[in-house]
Amino acid sequence: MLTYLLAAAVLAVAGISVFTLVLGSGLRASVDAGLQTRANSLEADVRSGNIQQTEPAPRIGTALGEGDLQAFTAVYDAGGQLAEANPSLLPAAPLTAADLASRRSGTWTSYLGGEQFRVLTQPVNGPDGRWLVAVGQNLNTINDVSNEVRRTLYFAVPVGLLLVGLGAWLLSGAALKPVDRMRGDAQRLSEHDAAGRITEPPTTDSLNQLARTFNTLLDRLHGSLERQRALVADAGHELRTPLAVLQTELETAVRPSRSRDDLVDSITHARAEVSRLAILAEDLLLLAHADGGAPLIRRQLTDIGALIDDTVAAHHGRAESAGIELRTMTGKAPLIGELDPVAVRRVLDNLLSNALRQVPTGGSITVAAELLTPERGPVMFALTVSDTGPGFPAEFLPQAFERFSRAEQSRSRLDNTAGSGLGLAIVDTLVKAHGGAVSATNPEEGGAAVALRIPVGDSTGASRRPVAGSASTAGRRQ
Amino acid sequence: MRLLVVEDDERMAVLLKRALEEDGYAVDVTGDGAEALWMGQENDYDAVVLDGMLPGMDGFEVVRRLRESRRWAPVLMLTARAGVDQRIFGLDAGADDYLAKPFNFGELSARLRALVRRGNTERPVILAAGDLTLDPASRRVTRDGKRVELTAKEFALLELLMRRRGDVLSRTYILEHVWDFAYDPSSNVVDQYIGSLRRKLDRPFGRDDVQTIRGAGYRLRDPDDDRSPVTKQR
Repeated sequence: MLTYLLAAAVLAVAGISVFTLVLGSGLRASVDAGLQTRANSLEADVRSGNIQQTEPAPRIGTALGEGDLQAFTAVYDAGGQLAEANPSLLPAAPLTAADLASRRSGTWTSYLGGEQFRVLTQPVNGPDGRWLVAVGQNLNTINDVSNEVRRTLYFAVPVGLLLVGLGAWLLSGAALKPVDRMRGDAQRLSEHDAAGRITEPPTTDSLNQLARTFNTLLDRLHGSLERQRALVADAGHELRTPLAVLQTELETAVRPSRSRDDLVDSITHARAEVSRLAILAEDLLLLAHADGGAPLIRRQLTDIGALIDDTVAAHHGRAESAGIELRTMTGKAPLIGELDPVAVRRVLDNLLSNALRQVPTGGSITVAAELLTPERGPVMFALTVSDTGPGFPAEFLPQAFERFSRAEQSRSRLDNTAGSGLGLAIVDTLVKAHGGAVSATNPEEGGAAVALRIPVGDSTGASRRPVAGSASTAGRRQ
Repeated sequence: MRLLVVEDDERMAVLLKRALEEDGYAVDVTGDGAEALWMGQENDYDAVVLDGMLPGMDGFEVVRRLRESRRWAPVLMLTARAGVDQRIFGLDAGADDYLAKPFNFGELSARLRALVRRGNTERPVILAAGDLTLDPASRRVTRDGKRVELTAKEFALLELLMRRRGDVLSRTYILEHVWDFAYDPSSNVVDQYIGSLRRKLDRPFGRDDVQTIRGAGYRLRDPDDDRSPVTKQR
């Protein structure tokens, strides 16, 4: 602030000085021009012999009131005598002897009777040799003017600057008020509570847009914070429950009253609990990786048909012992595309495990897969796992892919196949990592169905020809 | 001693039942909230071990409803959700103790013994005397359904009168329980606060429940049990 004031003062002084200098020299130039005109007309008079001895003869040193003399003309003859003067009575000799002797032409400033005069001399050829004309102009008027101007400026400019500065300060304050309020709002937001908002100024300028953008960002941060909190809370619960069982199991197993068979039973249960915990930890790690933005999948050209057959075959044992029929419908066309075989295997594993838990004895599970070649866009791998079970509970469907949401109410741990509540969330995460989409429905014909689509490369290359053929026949059939 | 164990995790329920029976308790087990409420209302248990997350009705609701139906068996909440908020919520709902999973079975057993020692005397979460209610958790007082604003000292005095409603409390007793050592026992601070309670609670509602018993002290009239003050003096 002080620097600003100092700079303003220096600039003002410099500006005023330059202005008065320019003004002074402009006024002087106009005085000089006037002198020149008068000298020229006087010269013409001398040439034409119009100069007469004035009456009374010009005299020097008369009692002319000082300050009254504004201008004078004087003509010196060849002998250096004052031939004519106007006014005829001059307070002092306008030219010195030296000036006269040199007979020079020039313009200068000199003092006459105590007053500052601008004097112009010009030699001229008179009737008897070289005469000299001299004209003078009192400078007090223009000195007064430039002094007055300088005084006025030295007073008016600082006052004006102060007023302008004050106005600018008030104006910028008013313009920045919303910014200040937003800053205050932002300061009050704590890192753990992103639920707050900053005030959006009621204007339509870029400031308002800034506030809106900022609020959108806050919303997103708040959402992700909330999701993370919920996940941590859920994960805490899901981890604590098996840990509590494990701890109680082990603590009570060593009670003195327990038999050897009891001990074996406890260890068996503890082992099952530990393996559940291990799976849960793996699943949570995968989801945490996905949340952290780590790359989850590595695409490679895969024989998808073989991948599906392998995965389904791994579940045959459980299906058989539960009396459930497992069917695969992959069509005749080879299924080849670029995807992460490990991830897709895990997706299918989770879907089959879910279905095997729900389908009663005598039911069936169908895995249907095909490649779709749309008019535009990449080739899509479509996979549907449907079953003849009871279907998803209606209230579960909207949150089917959320973490720790379970279709089954009872969290039986005696059944070692019970879900962690993360199976479908992992399916969703892995499919989305491929850029695909997944949905869960209860088809009209009954049971439950989960359908997903994954882009498996553009419509060129190895997968193009056979796939294009099957897709076009499918299209004709419709 | 008979316990009710409410736990929806089957293995945990089996383990608790067996270990508690080895400790000498008779143990009933259920995994459903609604069933737990019914069992708690029908039987006079010496203590209840209650999981927080239950199908049907959660544990907080179970304990709230039990207290509403004037069942005062000590309740120990045993839950995997054990943040400070949850613990405050559970205790204010009427639970007597809170233990987070995973827990040490020895600690659970000791806490149960302590709870059983305290017995199942009446411990309402919200005090009531006729149409006057006082909630120590939310610090709310209502009369006839209307909220009454009290200062902290007025609140403390009313809470004391309500907990001992019907009893005559001497000025010294009140001073000892509501004020600290810094107060001169000969001061009339108790009379002043009794006066302001009457101004706020009795006069606007046309009652005369805060009573002065000449030469003995003060008492809050018990509308459920309107015995003569003389027979119930302490």
